[in-house]
Amino acid sequence: MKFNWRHIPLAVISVFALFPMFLLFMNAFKKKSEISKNPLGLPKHWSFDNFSKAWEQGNYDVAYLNTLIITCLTVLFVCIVCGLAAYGMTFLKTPGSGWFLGYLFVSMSMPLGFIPIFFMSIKLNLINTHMGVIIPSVGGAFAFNVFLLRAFMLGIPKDLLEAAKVDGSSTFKTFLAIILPLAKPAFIVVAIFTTLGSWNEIFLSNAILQADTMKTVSVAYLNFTSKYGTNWGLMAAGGVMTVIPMVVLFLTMTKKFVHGLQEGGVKF
Amino acid sequence: MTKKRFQLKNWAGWLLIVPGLAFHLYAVTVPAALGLYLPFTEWNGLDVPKFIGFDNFIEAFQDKIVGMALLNNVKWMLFWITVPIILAFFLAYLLTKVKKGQTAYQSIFFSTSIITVTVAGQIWFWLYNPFSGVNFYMDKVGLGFIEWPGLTIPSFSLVSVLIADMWRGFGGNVIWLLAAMSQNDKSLEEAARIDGAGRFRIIWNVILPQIRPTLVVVTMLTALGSFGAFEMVYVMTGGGPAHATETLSTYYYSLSTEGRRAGYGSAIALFQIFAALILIVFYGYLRKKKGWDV
Repeated sequence: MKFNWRHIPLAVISVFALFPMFLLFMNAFKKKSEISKNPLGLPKHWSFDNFSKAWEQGNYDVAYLNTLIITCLTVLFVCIVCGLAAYGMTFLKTPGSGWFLGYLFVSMSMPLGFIPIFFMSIKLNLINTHMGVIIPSVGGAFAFNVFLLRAFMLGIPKDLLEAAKVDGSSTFKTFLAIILPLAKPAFIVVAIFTTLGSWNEIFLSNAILQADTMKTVSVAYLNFTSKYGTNWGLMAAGGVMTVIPMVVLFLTMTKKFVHGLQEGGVKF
Repeated sequence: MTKKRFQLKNWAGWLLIVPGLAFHLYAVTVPAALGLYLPFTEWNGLDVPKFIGFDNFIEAFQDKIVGMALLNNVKWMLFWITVPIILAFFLAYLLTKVKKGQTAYQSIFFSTSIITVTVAGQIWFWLYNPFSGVNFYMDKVGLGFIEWPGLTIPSFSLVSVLIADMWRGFGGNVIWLLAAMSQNDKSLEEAARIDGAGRFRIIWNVILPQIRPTLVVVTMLTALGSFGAFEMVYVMTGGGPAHATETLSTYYYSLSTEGRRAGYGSAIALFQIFAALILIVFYGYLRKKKGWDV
């Protein structure tokens, strides 16, 4: 079989993509003295000291808890409110939903109103609260996810809903019994991308979560790096702990991520 | 009777939309309205905003940092709509020609995007570090003369941040462009080849026109995003050294969080919205006048 030369440039770019992550993971297992001698290679003595130290000094227990609360609630709210809205706009002849869709589309291309949200949070005492991050995240993600779910729901045959209506199923029951199971792939895509976005979000979180006890891992890592900026082993271990849940999510759902993006690209 | 039930069903639709709409109002609509009013005020977030007319705009036009930041945003856009998109285009093109490993390559390219920006920034910060990063290693193997000055020298810092940002974000573009390319009509390409068209001619005249809608949308979204460039800059340099990497977002971010100047910050944020509007109008022009079916 002839070797396909196209694998060469593709492999080069793959190395460009993977090498920095490889460095992060390798350096997390090296002692400080080893990093300065051998910054780019495999560790000679695998050590887990950095992890336990970083876990304590970075307050990772608190940070993980905060991130879990914020991420879970954001995903839950996004799936519920966007799912219901997409359902209402796709299947019920809601008056004005065409205009509303147009409005949502326009709002999507506008940048996030960071300053108003930040100062509204000050006024409403939402600084240093989980809700201060969750509410704007859900609201900001609303338009895009409604479009995504709606595009998927348009593919569900109307006859099914008519049949359910004839059988006396209520609007809400139809949503739970018919739409939710059929649109499950779309909901999964929404859920994983919301999880990723929420876990990695720093723009709002960094401003709103100011107290150390409220910070998410992504934001806490900023603090961590400014405190222990010269200890690369510690930083690397902290970095690994910050990204590992998302790496695991990605590795277990690679296909979903790629297909989700492909669908999104084709739909728009 | 039937008519009444019909109407009832109608409004039930809005009941389903309202919960999401409430979130949307708080996060998008109200901030947008405030974003148009606040630039004309002086406000520290505590008492009532004080109306001061155009003072903030006058200050913004005299503020040198605003000019630098806007220029950086433009540079950011020019870089992002060229280098990563051309790279993504060719990677996607190559991927259409390989049989094995398409998904594997795509996931490798996209995997960088799942790394939290604070960590991604730290990795690159370390790579650019003159004492421990790549430069150190180059010294060791005798390549010390190609020293990458990285983040400490103003003229290099923006490019350095951009490379890190490209590393993190190029994978999504590859996936989108490949998705568009794999829907292309293969027979056109075949016909062109039989007619003796070269590889680049096929790319330019057969593949490019077919994926133009996707390419335009991707370029458009990239350009829009460029004017909101924030995360990588904030994490890696915080806008420094000497505001060399400052963008509109990082500038109004620090003005509002550290300086508590909602009014002046909002005036600068308006520049970003203004840039977005120009791009949207341009997009509409392409759609209508040029008949680009995007």
